[in-house]
Amino acid sequence: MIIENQENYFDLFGIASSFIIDEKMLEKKYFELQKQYHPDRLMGKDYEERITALYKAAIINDAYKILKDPLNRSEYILFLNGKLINAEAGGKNPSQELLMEALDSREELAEAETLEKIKNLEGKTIEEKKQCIEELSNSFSEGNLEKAEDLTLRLKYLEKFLTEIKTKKQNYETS
Amino acid sequence: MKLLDIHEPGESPLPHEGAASVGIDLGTTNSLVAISNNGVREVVCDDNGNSLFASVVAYKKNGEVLVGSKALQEAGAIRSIKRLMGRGVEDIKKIAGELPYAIDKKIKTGMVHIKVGERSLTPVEISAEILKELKKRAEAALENEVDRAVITVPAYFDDAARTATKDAAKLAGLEVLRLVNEPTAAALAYGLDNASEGIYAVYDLGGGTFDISLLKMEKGVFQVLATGGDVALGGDDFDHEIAEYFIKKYGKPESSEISALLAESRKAKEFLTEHENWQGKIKIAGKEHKYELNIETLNDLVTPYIERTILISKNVIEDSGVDLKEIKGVVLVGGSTRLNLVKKQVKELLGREPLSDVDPDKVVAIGAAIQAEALTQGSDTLLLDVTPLSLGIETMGGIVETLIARNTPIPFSHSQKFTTYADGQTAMKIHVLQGEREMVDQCRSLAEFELTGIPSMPSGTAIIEVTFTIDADGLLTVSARETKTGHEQKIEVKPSYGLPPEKIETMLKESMEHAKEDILRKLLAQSKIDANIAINSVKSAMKKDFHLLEEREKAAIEKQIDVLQKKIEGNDRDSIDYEVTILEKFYSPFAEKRVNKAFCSSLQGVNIGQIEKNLRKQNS
Repeated sequence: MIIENQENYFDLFGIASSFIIDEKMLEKKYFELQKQYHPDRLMGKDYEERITALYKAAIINDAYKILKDPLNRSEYILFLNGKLINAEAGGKNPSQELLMEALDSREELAEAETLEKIKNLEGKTIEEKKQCIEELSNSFSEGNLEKAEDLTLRLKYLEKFLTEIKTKKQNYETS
Repeated sequence: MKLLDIHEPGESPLPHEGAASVGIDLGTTNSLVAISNNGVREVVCDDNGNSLFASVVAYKKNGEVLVGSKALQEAGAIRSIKRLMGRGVEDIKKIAGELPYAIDKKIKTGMVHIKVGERSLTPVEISAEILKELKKRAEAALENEVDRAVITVPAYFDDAARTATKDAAKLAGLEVLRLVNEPTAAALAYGLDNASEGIYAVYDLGGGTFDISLLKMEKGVFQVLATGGDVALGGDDFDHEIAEYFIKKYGKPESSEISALLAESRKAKEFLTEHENWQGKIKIAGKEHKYELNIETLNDLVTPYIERTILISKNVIEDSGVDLKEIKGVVLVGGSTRLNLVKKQVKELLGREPLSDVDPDKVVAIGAAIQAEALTQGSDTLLLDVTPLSLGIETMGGIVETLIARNTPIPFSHSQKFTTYADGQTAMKIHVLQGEREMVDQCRSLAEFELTGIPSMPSGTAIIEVTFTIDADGLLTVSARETKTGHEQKIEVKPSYGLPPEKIETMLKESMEHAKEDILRKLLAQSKIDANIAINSVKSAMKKDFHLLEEREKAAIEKQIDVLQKKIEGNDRDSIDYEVTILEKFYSPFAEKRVNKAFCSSLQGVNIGQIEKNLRKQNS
């Protein structure tokens, strides 16, 4: 997701480099930037200018995707601070606690054999995700990057787990 | 799929002062063309006041091509060609039995071909005939030349189908200003007319395709939040179900009766959108039957299809993260939404009555016209669309790694770094796929290409950065760069189901001279010329680079040249073309070796322009 040698995405959008963001403002800036660089706006321009703008519009879309989503935004802030959330790329490993939690939840999902049970588990996980984002926000405010790293890993796991729940739910709804 | 950097430099829409632009809804069953000028929007009608133009093409024995309502009565008229856009021979196998076309079985790979008398035509050529007629119609209405268009495509169309649509436009003499997704075009027309703000759903069920899109409209910005659909689900399926019902009841029809049976099924369906009961007559196995069909029976027949659209809609809404309550309205688009059952089910899903002040047939074409005007005259509105399908590459074990997820806003770019795994490795294969499934064989293969001419280095040292870009038309382009040495490389991406640019050029020439000449004789002559050119270039390459050829390969190529030469003496164009493709197949591993050789010998200290020049020299 991260393109090297790129300008800071917060700077690109002209907003403060912080985990807490004003979503309305972010969207407003996004529309402003796209009105300037979207290929539809440069139809009559020469080839060079259009190609440059195409890539600029693509970067703006990438930046918007990253800044809008709490998990992506958190990973991006950590990346700007020299921390990578990816064990394979040399990032931090998930804690023993998180691994155990993941194991238990997977089991719970495997055992949920009615649509109702799956939906309950989904509701519970969405709540946990909300809480996790709040704690994450607090850690960033406190400048506790260590903790933010752990919480980001947890958020990443929760999102993945939610996708798994959704897939199972959709399978139940189809059959 | 094309390389980004082979666009023609300086290509700009502005030099066409005077000529006009239009919006085209190229539909499975019907097509429309609309014009927007200073806020006045209008769908072009024929002399009888019809705005719907039947998407039907008939090729007569004397070479004449009939399109639209004139073609409807012709035997062997081609309908619903949109269903085959961007489809490969392999895709068609599954549905071959149900198709009302004679598939050309001699074509074994690549784009599907249809037998039309003596000729073998691609869906691109057939669609181009429809576009040509629409262009003519608009030119007559405007009393001006029309050379540019916004063309709408189903949101769920993949890269190959989008490319095919663009190619068809080119053949018809139209420059595509932009491919716009059908539901997005509908939202644009509806939203501007009603100054709508907030989140809206567009449910688009046409003759052959289904799309659902969620959009946020705000002060001139139309932002697509999520989209989904099925490119093989539509009113055509309803007709087939009704026909099946008749067959179950009255027995198997003669093959000559099938098209009348389908037409009757459609008539019954259309009547039942406004009535409870229909009485008609059909002929099956030579015997005429009077029958009755009521709305309950029709509903039973189509329910499974409608339920599928509802399920897709539900998943798209869930994917978007939008709460059902946030959706302010739902716009129904496409003729098939006239069925009361569709309205009822959509209402049940969203908990609100669909908006009624929309013409489901015209709204897409009008949206396209508005966008055509915006792109040529400038405008304050902005369309922000997404890619409907995830894009990925093949990794170890046939698993697809997603690089760009579905519902990502476009244009979008993703760079991925690859490294070599063996010492001195100079080539690397990359397989690009589109789809949501995990395994390669469950996704749509867009292209497989080889990065060649990587400078020889120890394993893991050469780093190749491949950039995948999806442009505003939803089309993918690929470029690659070796980062250690800075060698840019052009990758020739052969679209698996597309037409190579040379082929389009040939087609363009053909179509221009079409009317005057005896086309068959001309094509035969052209095929003979092409075949001779192929033979000569293969022979000359073999002479130059004989050392790259193994004895076995050499024998196979020589034998094939003999076969082809015999065919050239005859008069069967199809078999000449076919033998040429076989020759190309035998030749291609050798050609690859030659290209590699050229790269390797010229990579040291030369720039890419030089390499190209060398290559061109070798190939000429």
